[in-house]
Amino acid sequence: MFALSDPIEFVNLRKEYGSFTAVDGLNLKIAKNSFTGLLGPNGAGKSTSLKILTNLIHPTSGNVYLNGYDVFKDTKEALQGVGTVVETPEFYSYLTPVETFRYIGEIYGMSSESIRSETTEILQRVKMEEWADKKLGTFSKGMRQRISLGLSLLNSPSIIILDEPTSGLDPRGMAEMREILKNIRNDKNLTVLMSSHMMHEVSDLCDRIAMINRGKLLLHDDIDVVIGDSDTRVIVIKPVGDPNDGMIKAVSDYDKVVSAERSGGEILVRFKGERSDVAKYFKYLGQTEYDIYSMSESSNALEDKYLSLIKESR
Amino acid sequence: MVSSFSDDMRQVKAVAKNEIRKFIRGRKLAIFLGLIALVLFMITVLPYVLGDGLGDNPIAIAGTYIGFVDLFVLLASVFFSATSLVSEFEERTALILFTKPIKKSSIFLGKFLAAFVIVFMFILIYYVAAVVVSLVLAGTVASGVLTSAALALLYIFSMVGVSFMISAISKKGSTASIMVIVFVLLVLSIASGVLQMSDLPDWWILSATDIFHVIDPLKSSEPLRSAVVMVAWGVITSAVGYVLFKRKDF
Repeated sequence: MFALSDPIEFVNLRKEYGSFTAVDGLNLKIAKNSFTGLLGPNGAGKSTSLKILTNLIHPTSGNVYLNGYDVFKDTKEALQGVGTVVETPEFYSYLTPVETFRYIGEIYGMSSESIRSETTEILQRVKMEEWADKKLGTFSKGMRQRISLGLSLLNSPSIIILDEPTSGLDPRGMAEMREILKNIRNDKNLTVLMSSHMMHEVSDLCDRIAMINRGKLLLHDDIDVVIGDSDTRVIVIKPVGDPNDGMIKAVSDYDKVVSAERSGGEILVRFKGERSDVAKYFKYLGQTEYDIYSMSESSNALEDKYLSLIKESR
Repeated sequence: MVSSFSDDMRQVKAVAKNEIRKFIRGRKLAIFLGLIALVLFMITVLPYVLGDGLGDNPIAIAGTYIGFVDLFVLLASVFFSATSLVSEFEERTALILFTKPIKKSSIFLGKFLAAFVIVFMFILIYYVAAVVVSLVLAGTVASGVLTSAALALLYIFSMVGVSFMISAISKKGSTASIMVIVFVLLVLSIASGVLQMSDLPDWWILSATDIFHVIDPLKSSEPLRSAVVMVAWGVITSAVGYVLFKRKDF
């Protein structure tokens, strides 16, 4: 065991498939109690890295640690406090969710009473309690994904690893999944590492970002710093009715606003400031005479940063 | 150390329990039980319908029943062992099980035990039927039946080992099933034939012959050597299968 303070660590991780290098000397430490988004284009090495981290693929060289334990040397200890959702897993079709939780609970070494009480609570949390005793073989992809996320919460993990948890879901399924993830984010004792290539999802859920491309780490920082690096945030304001000149002026009349312009029925505001400044700005907008039904930060700033980094790394 | 071992064994038990539940809830078990019932019916009833019956010679009666044991072990291994490891990859359930705090050795052992127990149960049913029929018709049981059953037990061990080794290298359950049949019926037979033609010893080739021969005192058999060969095949193929399974990436 290594005396490491970070719950997740990739050390000089390398994975080669013949002449193709999927992960190229990745070094990354995930801070305790952070919700980190692992961003990168298709083929960047996100899934490969997470599959190595979760004992599904052997690395060519390097090491991965969970709570200080080497995943391939001390597998049981490393994975003991870890919940995982990797791709869309298939469940044992002949089992019900309750039986699946019991089986995995037995693997964890949980008592029957703990398994029962946690199963009930988790199935409610992922809104699957009505399906508790139905065979999993009949479940849709979205339902399986929710069960999978629920299963990752069994045995009160300190780390959760999510590999594109909303991938392949319909809009409703994505929204439901994100709602559950937001709920998980509120648990301050969890460290979450989530891969995704959806900017809005990452900016909505994560407080830190790690960007990789071609198996190499490009950036790892707080999301505020990353967005701050790209100078301005983009705020989308949706008024009731079309925005008029008076409204544009009112929206612009704030010291941290760089510019404001009409875009269809919306106003796009370029804003310089921290999250707390955005919050104050939203309060200010609420006090104006104009009826606004939606105001939110666009993920464009993150997307800009992402695209520029990917471009530079080619 | 002790607590770690007992924890591993607890997980082995959980995996084995789940595997047996899979067999019970799946169609394979019903199909196989039906197959055994059909064969027992044909062996027991048809001789009386079409001829003079089974007679009262306990050796002949036992031979009639036990003559099918090797085929049943092969079929049961194909049904319940050949797909055991590969199904975790093919059906993507590895994403659930392998990411949990459990050693690959515990998964392997749990699945192996479940397959062994299920195949053994079927063969036990078959031997019990043979003994009951022999007792009813002949009033006694051939003395070699117990030795034959013991050899059948070791043969099951070796066949489950072979099936697991092939399952560990296969990408599909159907391929693994076919490969097990081809390996046992074709490769081993050809290897034995070629060795005999070349005047080379073939005693080390896995064979079920002594399971039948030990019943009949007129046929030569070397049960001890057969037992050693079966155990060796079981141990070696299981070990190779485990190493391949451990190294296999998702």
